Amino acid sequence: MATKESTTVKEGAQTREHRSQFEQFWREFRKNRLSIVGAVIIGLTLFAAIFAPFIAPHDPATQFDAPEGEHNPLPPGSTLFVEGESNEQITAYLGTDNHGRDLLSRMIFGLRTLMIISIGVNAVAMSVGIALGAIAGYLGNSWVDETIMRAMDIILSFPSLILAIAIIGILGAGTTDYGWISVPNLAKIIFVIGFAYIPRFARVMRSAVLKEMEEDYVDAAKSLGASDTHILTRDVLVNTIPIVVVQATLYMATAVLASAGLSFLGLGLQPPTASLGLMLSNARSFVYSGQWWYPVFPGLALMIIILGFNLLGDGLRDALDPRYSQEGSNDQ
Amino acid sequence: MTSEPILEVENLVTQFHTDEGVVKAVDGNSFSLHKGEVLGIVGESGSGKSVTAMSVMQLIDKPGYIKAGTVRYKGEDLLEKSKAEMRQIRGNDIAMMFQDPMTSLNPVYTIGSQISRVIRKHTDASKPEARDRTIELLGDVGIPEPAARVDDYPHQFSGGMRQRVLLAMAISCDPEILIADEPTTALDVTIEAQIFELIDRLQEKYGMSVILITHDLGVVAGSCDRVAVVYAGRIVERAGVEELFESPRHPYTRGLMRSIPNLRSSESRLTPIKGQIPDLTALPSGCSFHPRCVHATEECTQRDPELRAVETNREAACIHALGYSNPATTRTATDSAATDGGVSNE
Amino acid sequence: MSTARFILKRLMLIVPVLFGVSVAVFGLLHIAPGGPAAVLLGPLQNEQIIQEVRSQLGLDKPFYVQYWLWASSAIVGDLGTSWTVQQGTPVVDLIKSRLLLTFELALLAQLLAVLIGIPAGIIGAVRQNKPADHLSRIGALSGISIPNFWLGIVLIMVFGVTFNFDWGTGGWISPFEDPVANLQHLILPVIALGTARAAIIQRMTRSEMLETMNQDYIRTARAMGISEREVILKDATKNALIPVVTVIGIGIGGLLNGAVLTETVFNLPGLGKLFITAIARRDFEVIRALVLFITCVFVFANLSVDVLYAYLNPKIREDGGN
Repeated sequence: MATKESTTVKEGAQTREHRSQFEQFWREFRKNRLSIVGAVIIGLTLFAAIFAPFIAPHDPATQFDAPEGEHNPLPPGSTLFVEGESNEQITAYLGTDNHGRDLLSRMIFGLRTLMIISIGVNAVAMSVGIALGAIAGYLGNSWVDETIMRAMDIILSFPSLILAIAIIGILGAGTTDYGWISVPNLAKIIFVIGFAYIPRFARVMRSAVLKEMEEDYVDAAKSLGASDTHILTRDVLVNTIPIVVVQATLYMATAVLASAGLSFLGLGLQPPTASLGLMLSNARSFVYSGQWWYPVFPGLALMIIILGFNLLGDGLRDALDPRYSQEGSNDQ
Repeated sequence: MTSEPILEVENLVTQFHTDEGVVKAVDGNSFSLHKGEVLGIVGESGSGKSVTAMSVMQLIDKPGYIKAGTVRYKGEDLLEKSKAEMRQIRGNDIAMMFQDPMTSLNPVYTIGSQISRVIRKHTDASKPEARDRTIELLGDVGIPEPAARVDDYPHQFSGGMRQRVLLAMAISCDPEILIADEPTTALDVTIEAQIFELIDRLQEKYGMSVILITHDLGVVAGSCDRVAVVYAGRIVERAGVEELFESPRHPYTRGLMRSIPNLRSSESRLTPIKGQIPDLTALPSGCSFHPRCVHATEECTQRDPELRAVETNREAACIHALGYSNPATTRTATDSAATDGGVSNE
Repeated sequence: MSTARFILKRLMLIVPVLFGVSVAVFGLLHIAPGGPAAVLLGPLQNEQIIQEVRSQLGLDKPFYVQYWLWASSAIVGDLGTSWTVQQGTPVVDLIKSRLLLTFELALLAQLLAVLIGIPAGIIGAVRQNKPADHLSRIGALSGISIPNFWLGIVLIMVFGVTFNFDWGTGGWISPFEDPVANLQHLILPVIALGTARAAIIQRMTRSEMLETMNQDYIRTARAMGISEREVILKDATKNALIPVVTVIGIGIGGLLNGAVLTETVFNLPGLGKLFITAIARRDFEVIRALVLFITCVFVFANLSVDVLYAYLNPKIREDGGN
């Protein structure tokens, strides 16, 4: 943010400034090999999520037959038969689940739902949180600021997952139908988890805006007759982008954990949707009978994704150096 | 100043490994300090004067290290000492006070506990004895009601008062040498004068030798006996304080003097030295001051001048230290500063 | 006396927060379509039965009356009676019977996290960029990335199934019955719950220590001949740990979140398990009471951490935090 003064200079200079800012960021970012590892993990995850139907070796919902004398779940590398066509065989690279469905294919489709939820959660928390935080910060120390921040305090007083569990528990899993509006399960999960994380963005944003407002360029813009909304949207928000990016990346890890946790408790996605949390929940009963692959692979995938977001978030924070961001954390 | 030197630094080289290459922050410097003497080390920020002091104390942190040289204290080379021996010397024989009193005291301990633990570290004083001594020291450095304030925390003191506390800590074990690194840079001018007065008084009372590191020649004129001027990691001039002010021999010293306001002089014009202190990873060829020097000649861009005696007890590292014989050939003869430079002052 | 003023100030701030929390918790009950009675009855319902149940449970009164009745009894420790989990049992008794487990689990997990996280963070900072630091950082990164419920499953697989330890598969034995078996059975749940906390504390401690070690007062201590050991353990640590205390406090929320999952994985009959059971059986009185109770625990835990923070920080202690 060393170049924040530059945003009020002429357009041409501004783009040049931004490009060099980006170059500087990239130089810093790639210094740390772990950040690159994180970026690669997240890149691959998003790729797999988007192109799941093309990447998954089999259909995630098809229940394959086990060979004679064997029972699902079958270990990695097993050969299975397609129902009704005894001569057609498939390989389950990571084994199958208890219904004979291909574990790898379900994991890839599980990534898809996981990414939709996590990105959705962040979008909800970010958009509402940023708006509230920016308003509170811009109107710093007024009754509006006070009201918003007290409301945020109240939400923050609840342990986030407990709050999400309670809301979904009361609404019930599955689609919630209010008569005038019907909320699909996926949207409900997104809003419920996202709601709990609004204050974190609001707080960070508020302090960032308060700090930016003290900078000289805001006074300069004001004296040149710029309107409040113009200053807030064009100048202040543009300069708080780095910190929001860092926060969002780190909270992606939190969102992944929370949504998987909800599914694990049976309060998130419902069967037969492919979901890593649900798979772990089902796999729990197979732990004692030695079918290790069923709980291990989905959990490992979860861990790698969360690790990826943490590495990427740390790397972004070090490279962008937003002074008012917090240490990455999650709600475990 | 006829006595035996208490500290002799010879050919000290301290380097830092950075991404851009090796930086010689101190490049072969030598100086000595006699008993009861106040030596000033003067230079711009980044010239290596603090690193010199930190090297003497062996407090250089990675990526820095002392590459060569000797630091003889009472005849013994400190660089040969073990870490434990060095700890015995720090605070006890050689004490140091730093630039920023606001941050140099630990915020979570009382000032009394911070001073008395140093006393207990280096003497066999009991806790109450150390405490009594601490209160006495706080009185010595001019803290009002020392007995009442000994249990206060640093944030309860003003900047000037904190520097006094740090001074009390530095002299708590009656050190032979006090190194004061820009002790007043962070303070305002009235307090600055008080601190220097205090250092002067304590120096006499305790018979210490003092190394005063500063960027301010005014401070040097007021407090020092001898002066070493540092530029880009090297001592470029060494002289007694009167001789130095009388007739600076290095163009850099001269530039420094012209860039400070002088109350005694009628000359009202201040001339800053043009250019900037060079990047230590890419020093210019020849004399490292030549790009900023108004007297630089062709020779200066090629030959790196050694520090050499130009008179009794004075040395300068300048090819033209004995006189700028041919001003017409100097590259920047048209520069206005050049016309009143030269040897005409003598 | 300044500490007292600080505590008083924080207590005053808590009152509106608790009021807001209670309103929110009360409101939670009414967010379901058709209200709690309709959800409780499920698909087998008609208007008449719903009305009956509503009046039975007092849900037909105006909201403010309902809130007042609920909140005024909650304040004197009456959290209502269970609808379906254990019909007719006061919720307070249900909570009491399960509190010890969750308290013990959370406390031990926090203890484990502090005992591992703080030393690991200090070592990481002191040995910055050396093998010990890399090891400690990789451990911490894995720790914050591993979902605690999955870690629990893996621990059961390794210790309960592969090594066949009888304490390795979960379950709970009261400490009054058999203290040794009690602790044995808690080993794995505590590891599962404490790992992420330890990792977060390690990261915070490390970065705070690195920052503190660069402070001028550390240089002062070294220049006075203080040994490196004392500089690290006394001068630096006390300063670095003050912010870490805050993270430990916020972590209590994480512990409460995690306890729900950990208790599910290890079949521990604690508050978390009660919570999940209440949700499965749509016992809104228990859900509401638990959310209120857990949130109050969290709020007061944070208050005590704030007080501890103030006590450790002379600036607040001496001046009342102005």
